[in-house]
Amino acid sequence: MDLIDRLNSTSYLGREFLTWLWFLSDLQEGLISLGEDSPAIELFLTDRIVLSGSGQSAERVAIRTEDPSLSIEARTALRQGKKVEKATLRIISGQREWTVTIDGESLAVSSVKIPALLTRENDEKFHERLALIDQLDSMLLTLFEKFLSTRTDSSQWPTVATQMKDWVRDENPPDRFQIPPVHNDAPTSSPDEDSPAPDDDNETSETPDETPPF
Amino acid sequence: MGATSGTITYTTYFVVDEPPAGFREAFMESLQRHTFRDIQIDDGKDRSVGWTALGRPFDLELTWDKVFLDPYVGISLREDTIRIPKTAFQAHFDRRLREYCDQVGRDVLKKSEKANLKAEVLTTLRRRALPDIKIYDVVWNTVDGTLRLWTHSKRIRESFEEIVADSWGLRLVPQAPYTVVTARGDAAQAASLLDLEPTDLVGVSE
Repeated sequence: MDLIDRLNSTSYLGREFLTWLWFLSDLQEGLISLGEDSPAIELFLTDRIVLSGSGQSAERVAIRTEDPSLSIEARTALRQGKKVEKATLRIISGQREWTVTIDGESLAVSSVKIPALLTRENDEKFHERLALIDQLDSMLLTLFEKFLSTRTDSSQWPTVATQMKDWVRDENPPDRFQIPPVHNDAPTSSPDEDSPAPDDDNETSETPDETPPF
Repeated sequence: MGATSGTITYTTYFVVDEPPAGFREAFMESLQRHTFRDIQIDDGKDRSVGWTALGRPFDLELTWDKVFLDPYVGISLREDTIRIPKTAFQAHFDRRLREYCDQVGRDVLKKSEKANLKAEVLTTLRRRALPDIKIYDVVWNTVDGTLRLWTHSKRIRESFEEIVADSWGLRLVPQAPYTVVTARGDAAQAASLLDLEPTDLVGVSE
């Protein structure tokens, strides 16, 4: 098998990687570990997501949404067997934030927004800009390696795949989709406009543990 | 552009082998041999591709300090193209055709005469036109072995890969799920990727 054949026969792994990232972000409310020696990052899918089935004639669905998890169209596409072909990610590490659009099949990166540069000197700006891009690439590569490590482990992947199937079917949705209980001893004054309504999907229950399971 | 300012969109390659001893000198010579040159219109060309200093399309003096920005190597690939709109070409060609027919006293011309007139009109129009200039930054991180070309254009990637293969003595492999693994030399995991099958996320769980 020549290199082109190998690239083509494994390109679907990129779409599985992006779908896995979405699942992980949902499951862990965005908090993802990059390993013991690195601080956890926050990662969210945002802005635009493209899902497609396999094969060249497969139907594609492109959706503009702030949160694909709340998009009926995106979740329906998942249930139809589509996976994420392209996604825009928001990644926060420490105090700094990046956004990037990734194409699953090639892992090609586009429309990157890096954190604001701190340096004022022109010569230094180039190095700082490249260092921030390097840092983004390093985080993405670590995430991909993490995915591959699970994906190629025949004892781990079936369990993860089952959890992903449940997530696709929404049989055991993440906590933030569950309706929080109404407390009978809550004050009966008129509702505060800023408080989320009881059935607001965006309300989180408890602060997540700082050490995510994945 | 991209490396120094503007939109950040790039294609990543892995530089597969360690550059040999004396690489920097050979690399600079190669860059200088393929520095950008204006389109050779008189040779019938309508396109030219070549190197310039990073982010500077008119800076063709490639010196060490402009290229080696440790730990990075940075240059730009400049592509100039002249496009003559079909309607403009046709109008000028029709006029030249009539002039030529009057000169030779014939209305019927040979194929070769028409071909020569076409080439002549094209050359004249190209000399008058301003080329469309595009530059694509190339930045090579010599520490981690990744190289970024600031475009996704298939046409430019192919030109770039050809130039690198011909003149840099480096082997580049485009980043993809499979090559992420091979680039770090993990033959066992690379082989295991080839044995995997796509996962069905909607079928019944076992």
